[in-house]
Amino acid sequence: MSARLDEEERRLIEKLARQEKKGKGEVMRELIKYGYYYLMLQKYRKGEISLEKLSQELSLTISETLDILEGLGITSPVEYEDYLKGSEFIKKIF
Amino acid sequence: MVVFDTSTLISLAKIELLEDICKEVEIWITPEVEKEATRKKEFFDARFIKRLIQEGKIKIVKIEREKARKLKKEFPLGERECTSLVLAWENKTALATDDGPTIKVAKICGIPFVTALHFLLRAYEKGLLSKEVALWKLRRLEKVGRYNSTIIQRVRSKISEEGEK
Repeated sequence: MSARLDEEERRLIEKLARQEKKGKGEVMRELIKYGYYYLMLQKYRKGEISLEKLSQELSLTISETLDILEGLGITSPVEYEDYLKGSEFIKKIF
Repeated sequence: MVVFDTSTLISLAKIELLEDICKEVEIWITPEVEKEATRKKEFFDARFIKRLIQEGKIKIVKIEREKARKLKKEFPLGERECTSLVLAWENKTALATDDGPTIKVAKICGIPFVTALHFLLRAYEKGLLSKEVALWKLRRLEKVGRYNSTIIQRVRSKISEEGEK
């Protein structure tokens, strides 16, 4: 698989490779992976994918995924209305 | 009895409230949830949950996986999350989940749902936790559960405004 990069993308890769003292290919592969993870985290934040799907995409357990989300401070997609609905149910079960 | 999804089970284990809840509520989980929640044996929460299962405080209940697979085809959820929804639906009981998309599907299917935050607040209201401990656990759950600030403020003021239990 090959891909054509524009001038700005090449500049970013070269800059990061210099900063990290890594090869350009290695930096590019890492950026693709991080970009993919970022995209998945955004999808989770918007409520487009579930916690289980996110943990699968990140190849982590649910516990590890919760730790990552906590570290990044990504807000849960649970809404205030959900909290209010849950408040009605909890008294029936506990 | 309440069916627990992995998200709420682990969140309550992380803030060390799960055992208190087990004493008050019959907790059911699917084998798929058990497997995931206890997968990394070196994790505190995994070991904690494992012990509660071994002591019979959390019950493992199977469902037909085909039913979960059918549900998974219709919604953007994982198969494990679907097993919890099916178990709650079949037993006409509530689902404890802290996952937004799972809550949406629970609403569609008419399954009552609660989150870890509801258990914390209720444990305080029932006098199982002192105000100081409840507020400390709320600070911890705020990070683990990453609820939006409106929800957290609401719960914090409920605990702060009520007299000591």
